[in-house]
Amino acid sequence: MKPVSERGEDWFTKLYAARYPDIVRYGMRRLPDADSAAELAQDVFVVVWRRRGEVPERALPWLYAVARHVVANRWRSRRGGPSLLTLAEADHVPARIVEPDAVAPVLDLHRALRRLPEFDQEILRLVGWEDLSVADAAVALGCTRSAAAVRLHRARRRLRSALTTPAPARGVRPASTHV
Amino acid sequence: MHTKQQVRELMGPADPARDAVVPPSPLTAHDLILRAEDATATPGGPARRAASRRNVLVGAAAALTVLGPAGVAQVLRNGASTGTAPAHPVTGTVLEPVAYEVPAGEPAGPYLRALAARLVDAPQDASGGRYSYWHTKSWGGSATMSPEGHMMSDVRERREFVADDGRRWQEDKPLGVEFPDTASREYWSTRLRSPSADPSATRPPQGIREIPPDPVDRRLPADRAELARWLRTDRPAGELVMRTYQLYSSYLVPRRTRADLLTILAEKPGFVWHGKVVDRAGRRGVAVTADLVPPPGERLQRAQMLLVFDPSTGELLAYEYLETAPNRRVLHYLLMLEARRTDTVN
Repeated sequence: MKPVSERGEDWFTKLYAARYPDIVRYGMRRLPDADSAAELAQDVFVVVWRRRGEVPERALPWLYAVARHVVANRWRSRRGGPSLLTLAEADHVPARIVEPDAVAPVLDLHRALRRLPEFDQEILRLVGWEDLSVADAAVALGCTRSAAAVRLHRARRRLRSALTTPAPARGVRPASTHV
Repeated sequence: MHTKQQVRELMGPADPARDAVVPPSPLTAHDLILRAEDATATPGGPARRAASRRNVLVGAAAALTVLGPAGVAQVLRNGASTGTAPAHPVTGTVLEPVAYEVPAGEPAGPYLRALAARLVDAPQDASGGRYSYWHTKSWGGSATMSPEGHMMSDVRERREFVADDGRRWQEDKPLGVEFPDTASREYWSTRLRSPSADPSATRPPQGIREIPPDPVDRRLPADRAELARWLRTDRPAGELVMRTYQLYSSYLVPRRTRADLLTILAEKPGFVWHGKVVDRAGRRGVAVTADLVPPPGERLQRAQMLLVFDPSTGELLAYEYLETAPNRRVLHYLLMLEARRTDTVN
């Protein structure tokens, strides 16, 4: 804990400038559109200012933990509609993938990912996409490092298994959109 | 191999944000501090939410004053803006694929060469002005998919102006929801909220906004050989369709380049001629398609890319991406409504 008096607007402005893009990307990986991701980042930094005494020196994993809670709270509060679908329920192809041949493997991975338990999905995203170490992922997930390591190992194994196991018959899904 | 590294290699290619361009936030750090303190002072969740929305608008206006138009930017993915999932009442159209004059088709080479040989100038060839201007309408660029595969997407109308120095202005207008099939419309009918439940649905139109410069090289390929390299003619025909679409989205394509493009496509095996069609804007055109090569493990699925050209000028009128098996349905379309030079951004 740092005294709030040591963390004024300058400290906040630097942290915001440095980490805003990371949190927007976190949102883009979990929310259906970029506007929602930008709003998520703003909400996260509102929390940062209010809890600035608690922000550790290595702030990013802590920021991801806040973002995770904000996403979960929004999802709960807006469950009635699709405007904030979690990635688990939406296919989003990275915009850089314009070659049609490359779209299907990406969708396969997303579909395999969403067949996993939410915790498995999140630790895979934190390590695979946010590029966190196991220790930092543990901070973001609020568990111990050893628990995170075990869960990461299991999650990877489950993902590989889901990729090689046909999905339950729910009708064939189209290759999603790109561009 | 280490688990962490294995996870990165497995997940990396599917990262939806790996190459995302994140422009500066429209809100300054000071705006957020004000919002945080306002939220602390305002009891109750709903009131706080409403205050947040107001702060977004006020903050954006403040940023415009301080930073100039460049300070107000939206988050882009490789330059393509994405909209919020729609919150409209579900009266959206179920899309029908474009009907072909020659459904079975025949090799497109001779037809494309003939078209290239008789091109006439388009209005854009005689237009002048400081800005390149595109007016497009598209659907499926940012889609929402249910776990069962039911798809929903907004139709979006876009006006984009690009100055020769790379500065860009854009206006995006959501026009409503459309669906690729009846089952998708029925699925989403029971799940969409009323528009009033979502503050973004009542947000006033944003109008034309300056957006970050596009990193794309705005220099049109100089000759046929350079154009062929730009189109990546070594790749399958389906990918040339994508590059054709990108060419018309990135450049105002003059008559000579249009003719070169058509002859390049004519030489590429895999293009199929479907004769006369009417596009979704009601314009008469001629259609070619290229089937996509199904990736390993996707044997059930077949897809097709469609290009509709103006039969006189050779301009691209429309591009579509269709699933052809197991179902025949549209997954993405774009209508190129206007492309020309202009002197005004409005």
